[in-house]
Order: sequence, then C-alpha cells, then structure tokens
Amino acid sequence: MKRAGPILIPGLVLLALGTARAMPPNWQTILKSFAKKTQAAVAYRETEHVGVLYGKLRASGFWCYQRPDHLSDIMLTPVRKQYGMNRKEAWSINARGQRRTIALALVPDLRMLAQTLESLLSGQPQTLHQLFHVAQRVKPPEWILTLSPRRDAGTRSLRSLVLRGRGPTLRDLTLLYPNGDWSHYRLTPVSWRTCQKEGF
Amino acid sequence: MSKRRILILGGGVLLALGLLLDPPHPVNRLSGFLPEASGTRTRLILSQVKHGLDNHMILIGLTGAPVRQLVQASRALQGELSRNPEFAAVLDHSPAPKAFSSSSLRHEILFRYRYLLVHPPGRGRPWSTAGLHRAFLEDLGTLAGPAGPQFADLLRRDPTGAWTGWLRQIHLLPEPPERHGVWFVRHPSMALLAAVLVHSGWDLSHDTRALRAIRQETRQAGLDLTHLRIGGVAPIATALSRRIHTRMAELAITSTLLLLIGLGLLFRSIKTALLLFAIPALAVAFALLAAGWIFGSLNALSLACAGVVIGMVVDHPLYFWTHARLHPESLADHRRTVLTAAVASGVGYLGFLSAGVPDLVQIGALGAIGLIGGGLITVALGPVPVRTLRRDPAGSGSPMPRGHPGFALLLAGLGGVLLLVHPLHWRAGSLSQSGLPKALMRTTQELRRAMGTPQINHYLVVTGAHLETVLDRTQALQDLLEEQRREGAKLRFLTVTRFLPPPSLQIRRERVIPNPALLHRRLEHAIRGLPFTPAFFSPFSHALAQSRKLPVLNLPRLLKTRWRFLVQSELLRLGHRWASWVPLGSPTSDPRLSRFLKKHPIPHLHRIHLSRALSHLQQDLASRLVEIGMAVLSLVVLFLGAFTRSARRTLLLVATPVLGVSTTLALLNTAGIRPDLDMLIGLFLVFGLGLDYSIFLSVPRSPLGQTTRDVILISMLIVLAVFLPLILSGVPMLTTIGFTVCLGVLLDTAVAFSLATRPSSGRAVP
Repeated sequence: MKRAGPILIPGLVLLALGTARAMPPNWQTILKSFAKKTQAAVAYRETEHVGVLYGKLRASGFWCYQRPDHLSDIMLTPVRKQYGMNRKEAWSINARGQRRTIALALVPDLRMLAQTLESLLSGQPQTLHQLFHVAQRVKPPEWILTLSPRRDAGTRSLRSLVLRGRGPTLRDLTLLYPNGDWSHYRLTPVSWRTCQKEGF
Repeated sequence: MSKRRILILGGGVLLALGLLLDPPHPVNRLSGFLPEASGTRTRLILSQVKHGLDNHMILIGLTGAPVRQLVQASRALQGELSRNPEFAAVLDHSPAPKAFSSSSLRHEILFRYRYLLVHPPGRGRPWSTAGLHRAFLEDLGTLAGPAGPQFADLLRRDPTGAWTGWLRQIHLLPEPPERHGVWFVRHPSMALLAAVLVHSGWDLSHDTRALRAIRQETRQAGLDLTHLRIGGVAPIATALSRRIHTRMAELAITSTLLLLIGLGLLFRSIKTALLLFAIPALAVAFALLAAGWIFGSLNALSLACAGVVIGMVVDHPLYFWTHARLHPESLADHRRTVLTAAVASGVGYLGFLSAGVPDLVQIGALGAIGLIGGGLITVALGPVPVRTLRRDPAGSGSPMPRGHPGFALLLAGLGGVLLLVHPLHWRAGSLSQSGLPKALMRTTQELRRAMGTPQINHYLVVTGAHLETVLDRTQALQDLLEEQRREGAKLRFLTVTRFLPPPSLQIRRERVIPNPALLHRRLEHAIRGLPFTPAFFSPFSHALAQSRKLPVLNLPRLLKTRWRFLVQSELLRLGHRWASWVPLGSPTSDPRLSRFLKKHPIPHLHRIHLSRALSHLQQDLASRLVEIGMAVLSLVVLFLGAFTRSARRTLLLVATPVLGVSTTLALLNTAGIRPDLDMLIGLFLVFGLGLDYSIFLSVPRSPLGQTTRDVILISMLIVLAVFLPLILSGVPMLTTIGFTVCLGVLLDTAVAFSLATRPSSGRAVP
C-alpha cells in the first residue's frame, strides 16, 4: 500500500462522489451502488505539507475513472503531468509528453492496489473492509467517512483518510501520514467531457 | 575342476566382490547425450539447452484450498525450498524490490550501484545543472501528486530517477498477478511459484530429488498432492525417463524369463540355458567394473543401452560350446572364430569414442569392454558340456548347402532402388520428444500462461574470448536496440548489461559523477525557483559520493545476489569463450531489426531461433551417429583386413552387416518410418549381429554347416524374443528400436545364409 496513493485516492474519492449523492445509511451498500457507474470525473485543488520541503505545495487537476480499470490523475499545476494505471501497468506522462511505464509486477504493492481498486470500483466492499477500518459519522446534512488502514494490510505509510461531504456532494478529502505530513483536497464534480478534453 | 576354471571362478568371485565394494555410480541425465559441439552456433544452442533458464525452471501451482491456506502454503514452500541445495532460487513473487522504502532497498546491491547501471541525467552534459533542474521539476510533479509524501523518501535519495528508470528497463520478467504478496491467479484459484534448479532440468538424478522435495514440502504445508501442479523441463524429463526405464525393466525381466524357459525347453536343460546367460552377465559385470573405474559415474541410460549390446554376446558361447561339443577336433578354430567375432565387434564399438558425446563414449567403452571381455571369458572357460540341439552329432556335421548370393544381390538392389525412389529424410522429432507425457505438457503450458512467462524462441547472442569484450558488445547491442525502440519498434528484450554494464562503462559513469563540492554548487543552482531546500537532497549527495568510491560491479559480486539466476542464464561459458544471450520478445527475423543490425554490425553476433536450432541440433547428432557408424565400419574393416590379409574375405565378411543395415534402413524408410536417432541406435545392433553371423559362417576346414546354421537361427530367435516386446512397449523410442532390430536381424540372417560359401581348405577367418 505504500505506493498506493496516486491511484487509491482518486479511486476512493470517485467512489465517495458516487455514493454521496444518495447517502444510503450503509457504506457497503454505497459501494455496491457505485459499481453501476461506468465513468466519473472530479476537479481537485490540493494543498500539501511535506516536512522536508519549505512551504506548502499546491496543485490542481482532475481525476478520471473509466471502467473497468483505467484510472488517471491529470495534474495541471504546479507542473503538467499525468499519472495512470490499469491492471497491468502504471504510467506517467510529463509536460513534454514523455511517457514512462512500469509493469505492476515490478511494484507488487501497486499491483495489489490495482486489484483492490478494481474490486472496489466494481462494487466489492469486502476488499475495502479487508484493508481499512471504516468509520461513518452522519450529522445531516453533513457526513464524514474515516478510513484507517488495518495493520495486517501493510498500510503503515498512511495513517488515515478522511472524506467529508455535505448532502449529495463530497466536499473535501484529507490524507494524514504517520510522519505528520498531510494532503488536503477540495473537490468539485465536473462533467466527463473535461477528462476527454484533457486527453483521458 | 581344471586349474583354468578355478582361476575363472576365482576371477568371477573377485569381480562380484569388486562390484559389491565399489559399485559404479549411475547418474540419470539426458544432457550427456548432447554432442560436444564443434561449431560456435551449435555450442551456443547446447549451452542454452544445458544452462538456459527455461531448462532450470520448475513451475509450481497450488490449488484446492481456501485462498489464505494457499498463500500460507506458497510462503512455506518458498521458505523451505530456498534452503534446499537443489534450488538456486525459489520465487513466489516478483524478484524486484517490493517497495521503494529505505528498509527494502537497504540490502539491494543494485540500488547502491544505480548510478553505474544507467546513463547519467543531462543530455550530452551528464550531471549538468540544467539536467538536474529538469529532473527536480519532474520530482515536483510527483511530490505534488496525491502520493507525494509517500514518494518523498525515494525522491530524496534518487531525485534523478535512476532506480525507477532501471526497473522500467527490466522486461520479459514473469508478470503474474499477486494476492497477499504472492503470485496468485483466480481462475482457477491457484498460488504460483517458480523454482530455479541449480542443475539443468535434464539431469534427472537432481530433478528427482528436487521434485521429491517439492512434494514433501507441499504435504508439510497441509495440502493434498492431488492439488499440486508441476510443470517445466525437469518433471517432463523425469516422467519420460521413468516411463522408459520402467518399460525397459519390465521388458528385460519378461524377456529374460521367457528366454530362460524357451532355451531350457529347446535344449531340454536348464543348466545349459543358465550357462548361456552367465556369459553376458559376467561380461556386463566386467564392463561395469572397468567403465566405472574409468569414468567414475555412469549414465543409467548408457548402462541400459550397453547392457542390451553386451547381451547380444550370448551367441558367442552358444556357438563355441555347441561346436566344441560336436566337433572337438576343431577346437582351435572355434576359439579363434569366437575371439574374432568378439574382438571385431568390440573394436567397432571403439568407434564411439570419437563421438564427442560424453555418454555415447560411455556406451562405446562399455560395449567394447563387454564384448571383448565376453569373448575372452567364453574362450577361457573352454568347452562346457552343454546339451546340443541335435542328438546325432554326425548329422549335425553335414555341410550346409551353398548359399544363393543372388538373394543378397537382390536385396542390395532392392535397397538401392528403394533409397533412390524414397530418399532418406531425417525425422526431427526423436529421442527427446518420443512419448513426451501429454498431461504434463498441458500442465506446463497452463502454468506458463498463468505465470505470464513468455515462451522465448528468439535470441540475439554475442560471443567473445573475454568477458569484458562480450559485455562491451552486448552494451553496444543494447544501445542499438534501445535506439530502435525509441524509433517506434515494439521490441522487448533483456540484456545482461542491465545488471552488469561493462567495467569500462561503469568507470566512465563513475568518473562523470561530480565531486561533492561541485555537486553542491550545481544543486543550489538547480533548485532555484523550486520549493526544495539543499537539505532535501542530502541523501542523494551522500549516495553520489558513495558511488564515486564503489569498486566496479563484477560478475562474482553479482552472482552472490538474488539476480544470479538471471545473470547465469544470460551469460554462459563456452569452454574458453563467453556468450551473452539476449532474449527477444519479437522475432529475430523482423525485417526492420534485420536491416538495422546489418547497418550497424556487431562482431560475433548470432541470431538464434531456438526451436529451429534444436531441430538442427538433432540433425547434428544424427550426422554424428552416421560418422560414428562410418568409424565403426572402418575399424572393423581394418581389423578384419589385418586378420584375414585378404581384401576379398574382408569384403565378404562386412557385406552381411552392411547389407543388413542398408536394407533395413531402406525398407523402414519406404514404409514411412523415417530415420531418426532411435532407429540409428537399432541399426548399430543390426550391424553387430550381422558381423557375428558372417564370421560364424566363414569358418574353414571342417564341414560345420548345419551346426552353425542352428546357432545362428537360435541367436536370431533370442534377438526376436528380446526385441519383439519392445514394439508393443507403447514408448515410441523403444518401439522404433524394437522394430529396427527385429527386421534387421531377419535380414542379417537371410543375407548371411545367402552369402555362405562351401567350406574350403586353407586359411580364411581368421
């Protein structure tokens, strides 16, 4: 799970976006309902704190997902870059259009993640449950989902992941790391065309 | 009992004691039947057959239990087998580092050498400020990404991406899916492992131990053996060998019992039958002891083949004792005849010594020692009071009717015409492929598919006298292939220089690493405008400073790492030369690649299509056997010529075996049974039998016709009794040998009788 971040987060966010609209009482039911979606897109603005850097990093872009396994993070700032992943490989495309691909077999954590996400996004909550303790707090119209990695899932590099929403909308997402670093995302649903325009 | 017999009996006891005290060490290996090649190309193919990764790999699948149990069993199996000396490596997940964290990379030697493994950053100007700045900008994108903090640790130590760049370059490694950290496929639910053997999969003794360990550990892990799937060369070779050995053992026991009973009934004396069998048994024991002393260890298959060859000496005591009983007045002639037949055949088998195939040399030595030893024992024992077929010795001495040489000529003509109409065509599938267990082949294919292990058939091979030269050439080839890929060619390849760049290149890369002061200045410039502090890159500065002091990564050092099996399978010794194998995921015949390689020639570069090359290799082995045949014939002719001092007599003596062999070959070829290795083995036996018959029938002076005829007919019946069951064995290799020998001995007998002349006075043979 250490390398899980780039794809895990968009996956979970898209998951939550799909679920937040209806807000059924049980999160497992939410995941199952999400499996009906074939594609999803969301714009993000990120603020990141990394202790060894001075100042905070700010970034923006889109997350796009297409069933069954194509997931992309299209970063627009501070540099233009795209990350992607499917069942077999993960890749990045830099501003000059140079594509770097790595087989997931060489990064087993990512492969495990790909399988996890695939089962998540296709509506298999038991896999998510194997990896995370899931806590749900609802104070209508607001709600919070907190995902804490289980120790046996080998997720030592992430302390927790918090999804916050209001009514049918996922508002923001926070990732907390064990060393005190954190990333905060403000999210806005966008149309699928945005992803298409960005070359998804 | 005469003194001589007491001596022989004592010798026999000593022989038995010798065998008991120092038994020969049989080893079971098929690779010993591969020729020691003369040409570079053949040597290359052989080295791949013997040492290639594919021939060392056992694929394992665990099924039939819940996922968690399978995962645990896979881990247990991996742990236990890794400690077993039969295995070089046992993988249950990708050999690449599991993560980019400090802890997992601390012990990775190639991570320490990362700046000597890949080209330095900066186009044209390595480690330039601009190059570093570009790399840091990329890092910024990574850090700003959703997992930035998680990558921070790696980026601090490797901001130029040398390690991830190196990992991306490793192609053609197995890429099966993983579950809970082990290779796992879902349909059917199966945990996968790849075990790399220390010895080649063709070395059956080691295979047997390795397979036994796998089964034992599977049982220990609480899994039923019915749910264990094993594939690869080793289990296939073992199953094939077991099948052949089992059938041969069954046939040997059955034939021996049948023959003893048959001969006992024929001679109406079990003592005679037992005595007749004692000679080949003693000859085999003698050959075993002598060859064991010469070679140290003997191949089980060589032993089996030699056993059959030596078993054929049963016609020597049959001839000698029958004739000595009926015609004691010509004892000296009988003795000379038997010795001539034994020594002629034995000398012939010396032709195998020129084979250049280690275990064929063993067959030759065993055959020569056994045949000559058998003849000597027979003669040394002297006349033994055995029963004869004929009760009336006087009647048995009647001269045999003169033969009809026209029949032999007719056969020769027929053979010639048949060979003209149906020219010989070598059959590719042979010894190694005969009777391959289909179920195991299927399992191997299934496991291969599940593992995603590509079947590599195309290789580029670079050779050279020195390791450094080969590495230099391989690096040049790698650069060319990379250039091709950059230009859009869909090439997948893996070169050993990814792991072991040429020392000269490592030194060049080491030299261009800036010194700490210069690096510090460049870093300060490179991070301008970026949110990095110089402290962020202190692990990187430290790593670069270390890289400047690293000794060059060499082969012995690399062979101590877990990458050794990959390196060993790609970098092979060819006697005093080296060869670097570059497996290609695309055909070597790709016209674009061909044009490119033609345009940029690399010295000593070979393109190899493995399955085609293996077919050529079999042809090479066949032509080697034909050469051996010619050597055998030459030695026999030389020996007989020297002994008879008559070209005509020599020609007549070798006419029977030569006609027997050529006619058998022509008839089988016409019947659609194409010559192959198995048939050639049978033809050697046909030649030996024909030679014996020919020599028996050429005895001068006394009119022994009918007795000799009886001996030859009984000998023929013995051969038929032994080899007819082989036809029904169900093992293609044994069937072909059985068929060849049965037809051959019939033709040998017919030709020998047709060429038999009336006894004449004067010295003939010997």
